[in-house]
Amino acid sequence: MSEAQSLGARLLRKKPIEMLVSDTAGADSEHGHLRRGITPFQLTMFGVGSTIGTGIFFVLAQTVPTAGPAVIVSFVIAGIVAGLTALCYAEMASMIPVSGSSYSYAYATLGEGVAYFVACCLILEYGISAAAVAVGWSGYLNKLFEIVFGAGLPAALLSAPLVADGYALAFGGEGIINLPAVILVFMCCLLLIRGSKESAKANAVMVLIKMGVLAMFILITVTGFSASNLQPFAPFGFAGISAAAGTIFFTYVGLDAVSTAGEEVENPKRNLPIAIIAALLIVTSLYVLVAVTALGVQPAAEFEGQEAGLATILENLTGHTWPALVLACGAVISVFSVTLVVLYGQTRILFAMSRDGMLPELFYRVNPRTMSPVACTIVVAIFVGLIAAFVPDAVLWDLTSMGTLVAFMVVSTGVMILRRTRPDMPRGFRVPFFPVLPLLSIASCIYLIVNLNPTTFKLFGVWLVFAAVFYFAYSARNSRLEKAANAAAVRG
Amino acid sequence: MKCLVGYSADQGGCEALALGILLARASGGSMVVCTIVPETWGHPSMARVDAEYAGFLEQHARKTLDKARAQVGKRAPAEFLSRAAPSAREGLLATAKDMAADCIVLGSSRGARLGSFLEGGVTSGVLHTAPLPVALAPRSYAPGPRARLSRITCAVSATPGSTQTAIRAHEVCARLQVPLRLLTFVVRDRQMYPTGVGYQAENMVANQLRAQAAAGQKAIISALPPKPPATAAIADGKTWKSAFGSVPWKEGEMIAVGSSNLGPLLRVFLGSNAAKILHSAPIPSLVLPWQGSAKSD
Repeated sequence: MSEAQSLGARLLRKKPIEMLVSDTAGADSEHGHLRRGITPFQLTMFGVGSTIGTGIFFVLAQTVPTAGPAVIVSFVIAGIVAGLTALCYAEMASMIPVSGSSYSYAYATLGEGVAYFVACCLILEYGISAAAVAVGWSGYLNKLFEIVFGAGLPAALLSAPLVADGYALAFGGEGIINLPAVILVFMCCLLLIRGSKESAKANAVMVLIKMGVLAMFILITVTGFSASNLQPFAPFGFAGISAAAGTIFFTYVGLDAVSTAGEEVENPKRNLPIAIIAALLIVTSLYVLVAVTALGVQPAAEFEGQEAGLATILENLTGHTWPALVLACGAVISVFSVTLVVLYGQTRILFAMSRDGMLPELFYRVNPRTMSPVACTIVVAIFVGLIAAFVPDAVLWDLTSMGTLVAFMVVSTGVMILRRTRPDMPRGFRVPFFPVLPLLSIASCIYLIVNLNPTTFKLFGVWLVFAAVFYFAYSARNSRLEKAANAAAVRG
Repeated sequence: MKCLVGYSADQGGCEALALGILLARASGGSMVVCTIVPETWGHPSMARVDAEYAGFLEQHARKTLDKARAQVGKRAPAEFLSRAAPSAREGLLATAKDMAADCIVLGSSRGARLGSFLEGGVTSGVLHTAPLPVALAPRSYAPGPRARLSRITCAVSATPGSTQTAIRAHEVCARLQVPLRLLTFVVRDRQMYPTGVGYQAENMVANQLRAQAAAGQKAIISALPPKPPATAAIADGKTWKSAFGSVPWKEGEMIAVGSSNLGPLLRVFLGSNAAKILHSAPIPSLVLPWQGSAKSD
């Protein structure tokens, strides 16, 4: 009786909130698990911890050639967009009494079609960014090898066989496979299978490491600052700045970790915006300072194609290897943890989707020995590993930005729709300056999206077509809600 | 059921003996209380040093066994013997073979926390090589004089291998005439921080594991003979310890675990989850040897 429901009904059906609550209920003793245990400071640290590391260590090499020294402006623009979207997302998250992903929030409020679409974007946000981060990591690892052993890995093992010529993908270059990136992905996979998790404490340590090495970078490079490097400031005009901002948005991915904590934080009405804005201010100022000082010591023309950029800049500036060594070590450790967190996010999103019947059962089988979803983790690792091995990072960054921006645009729109359709639903947090702020959020997302390069649009289009085919061929029929509806129809 | 109690003149020995008595009484069987003494060289030496040492050992063993005799009293039929062997492990295994024992009973290392179990050198050796079930008494185990074995809880995961373990545990239950309870542990993993997928993602995984475990238990129970009755429960908690605390335990209950199927055939070899269960269990445990995969699927 799978034809019982019309297409429209399928796309619009919503997951009951009780179902969402029971899916994530705690062990018996802690039912009604709304322990509001996270302080605003901790939450800010979560925001900082999950954001820094997803790009600042590598993104200058890609964006300075696009925007010139004006890349500083791009960082600020991307930061503002990230803040707007995070605030909108926080309102949607606060409508649901359990903490989840934007997929599960969308499923409960906007319906299956939107949720599935958001999930497709999230796969880009998580899966693709995991690959992108792993690629950046391999550059720093190689730098570390060069400093410690005097020689790096052979070039054939360091980069993808596909190269981005401008943005058009082509075979060529000296790379065969990006081996360190693959190894990183599989190490993280093993840790996740064993159930190793980064705790709130580990996050605090990672935040210290990341902020420490970036602060060191800023303090050292400021000594060699030369304002002449910042001239001409914007050689490619505003178009360059906008294009770079789109790519840079990728470095703010992770700020949404704050929004999803709405149910766990004390007094979310006050603390959520404080944490989002505080995290954003810390992150943006660090990014801007890093960009300004880096540009102050190295002419814009030298950024292009630079691997392990920040470490190399330090080495060139000081003439010593130790600052570069410290920075490379910090990057290798903290980017490792970022990859772990991002891969973890990806496995759990797929887990949630397959539990809802959107994906085959394989993704939600839990291995009884390790008590973790082993098959799902391995599948994710294989895909992310393949992408990290063979696709250049420039394309990955833009694709991540694309996925994230589209997902947040949907969320912001959703917030506006829900104010109209479900005005009575309790909201722990409401976006200030409604409807200006969500509208600004949507407009700014669109602005960054249109400035992304055409290759990204093509890849995104292919991905969406594939996803849509899968939805109509599989997910719509196998959805848990479909089965529930059919059962109800039979009973009725 | 014939239980071989590995007895030593310390608290661990007393605890093992107490468990041996419980098992012997439950099964209407008997005990062999065995103390292992070091093998002497046996060569006549000029000063008869070795013979004197052998004499001392013999005396020591006799004293030890007298103590055991006093503890057992008339509560269970028992034989008492001492055996000289190159190592306690070899001595116990050889005795178990000679006396056709059905299980070996051992005590905990003194390093364990009160009320829980930790294997010492001998126990570890026996667990790695024993071809028969091994019962383990936790530290400071002291059942009352009227204590009876009330139930055996068998720890199972939802893997095919655990059907075999459950069948073995069920056989033991039939001999001891106690009901069986299947118990699956769901130990909730720590949540990852920070994450964009919310702060309850691990509960989602654990709840799925619960659902899987319930289905697995149902399948296992349907594969068991109807008598003695078997029930099922799920122990759910953030740690192994709190998972143990989440289900009710009867007075005089034991927990049975299967040994890892990675070990040699027909030998006892602990997997990491089984080891965690043994170390967190506040009650005596029974380690069942792996039977090979031929019959399990």
